[in-house]
Amino acid sequence: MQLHPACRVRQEGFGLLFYDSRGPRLLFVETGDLLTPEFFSGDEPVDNRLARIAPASRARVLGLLAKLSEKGYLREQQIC
Amino acid sequence: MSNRYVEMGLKAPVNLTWEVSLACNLRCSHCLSSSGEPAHGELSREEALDLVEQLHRNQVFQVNFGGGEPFMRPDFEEILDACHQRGIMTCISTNGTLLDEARVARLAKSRLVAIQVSMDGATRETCDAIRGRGVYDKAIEAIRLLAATRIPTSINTVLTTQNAGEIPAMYEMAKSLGVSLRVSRFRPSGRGADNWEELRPTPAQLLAFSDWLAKSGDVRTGDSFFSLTSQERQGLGLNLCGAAKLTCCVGPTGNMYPCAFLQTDRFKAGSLREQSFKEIWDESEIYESFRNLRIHSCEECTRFDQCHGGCPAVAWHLKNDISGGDPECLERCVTSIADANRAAKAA
Amino acid sequence: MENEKSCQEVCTEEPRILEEFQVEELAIDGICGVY
Repeated sequence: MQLHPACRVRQEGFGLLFYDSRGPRLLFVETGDLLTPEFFSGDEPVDNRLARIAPASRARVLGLLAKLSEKGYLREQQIC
Repeated sequence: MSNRYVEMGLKAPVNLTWEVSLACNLRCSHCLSSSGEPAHGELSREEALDLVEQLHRNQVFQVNFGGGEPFMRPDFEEILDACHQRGIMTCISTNGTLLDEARVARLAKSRLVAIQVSMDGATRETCDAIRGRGVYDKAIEAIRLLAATRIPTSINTVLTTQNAGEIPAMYEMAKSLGVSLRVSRFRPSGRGADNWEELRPTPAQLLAFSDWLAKSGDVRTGDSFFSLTSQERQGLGLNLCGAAKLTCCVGPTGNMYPCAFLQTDRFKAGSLREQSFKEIWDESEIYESFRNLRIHSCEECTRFDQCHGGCPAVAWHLKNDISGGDPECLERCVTSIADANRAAKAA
Repeated sequence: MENEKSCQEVCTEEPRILEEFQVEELAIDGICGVY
């Protein structure tokens, strides 16, 4: 799971700020310090990344990933 | 949509305008920077590359390059490459006259560049009257070269009284060339101030443009027309000034300002030759004043939520009052026309 | 008796869980930087 190549993310005081150059548009996400931009980079399977999140927050993070995917901020994944 | 995250303050701008040089091979009559000769003491290649590194470390998402004509700087492509290597997205405002096949091919190698070519009329006559003889044809040629690549390309037009009637034709022209259209607001800065009375759109033209924009959702405005934004265009862009909150400006000599239209000593936020980018963004009193700007005179207006007082730069240039409210907002245009009609009847 | 009753009322009250992160989107177009 990775960001779409046209998107960027950085940490802010309220949480995460996403930028999509195709809009352009900004997405403000109030995750506080729960997630860092690194969560959205690399090749590690999503389940492994989620395992490092506090159990009480995993549902919310999954919900956020679904929303980001729906809005086009994530790279399309090939399903073999 | 609230602006509360914007009001909370960001640790860096989302994007910034970087006027890399005042050198320009044209002398457009509305130029916001009075471009032509390079400024005295423009940033060196090393200073420019250091700034790119600072922008990267501060995670600025995008740099909008302007000037002058950016391609007049011999090292401009090197500056661009430095941005792209760091994942910084770029948009270049160019007059198009220095774009040839080879240069366009080099630019097309990056997926991180967008280009806008300035044109100020749908006809050779109108465009060249503002930008100079022969510019229309060169700009069209540049657009054709760009449109044949995957570089996101747009035509940028500054709305003046001379071209206001040609905007729909410019939209069609952009479509036929396979590019998008961006219409920017004319502001009384630089040569624009010198020629303000001659070039400014009339209130009636601004209203007509606002109506046309309402029906033209795919026309961009660079966030410059939020004082005219109709209800139909809500959600298509900013509804407040982003200076010092979402964006800022770097001038050719490394001075920083709230925006490109306030590049004067009065609004100098700091110098990159004396402080770091981060220090200026965080500590500048000028930026702090813009973050705390409240345009009280507009708060009772029914459109306040749609424009939050409009453009402080235009208010400054026309009324010497940064918080005086936008003199060309939709409400003031309507009032101005009504007053003129009353006066005409009385006469 | 009354204490038991109020304890029951408190204990059966559903805890309010924040299910989603607050998210807001803002369209921009250069923020006056493309002219």
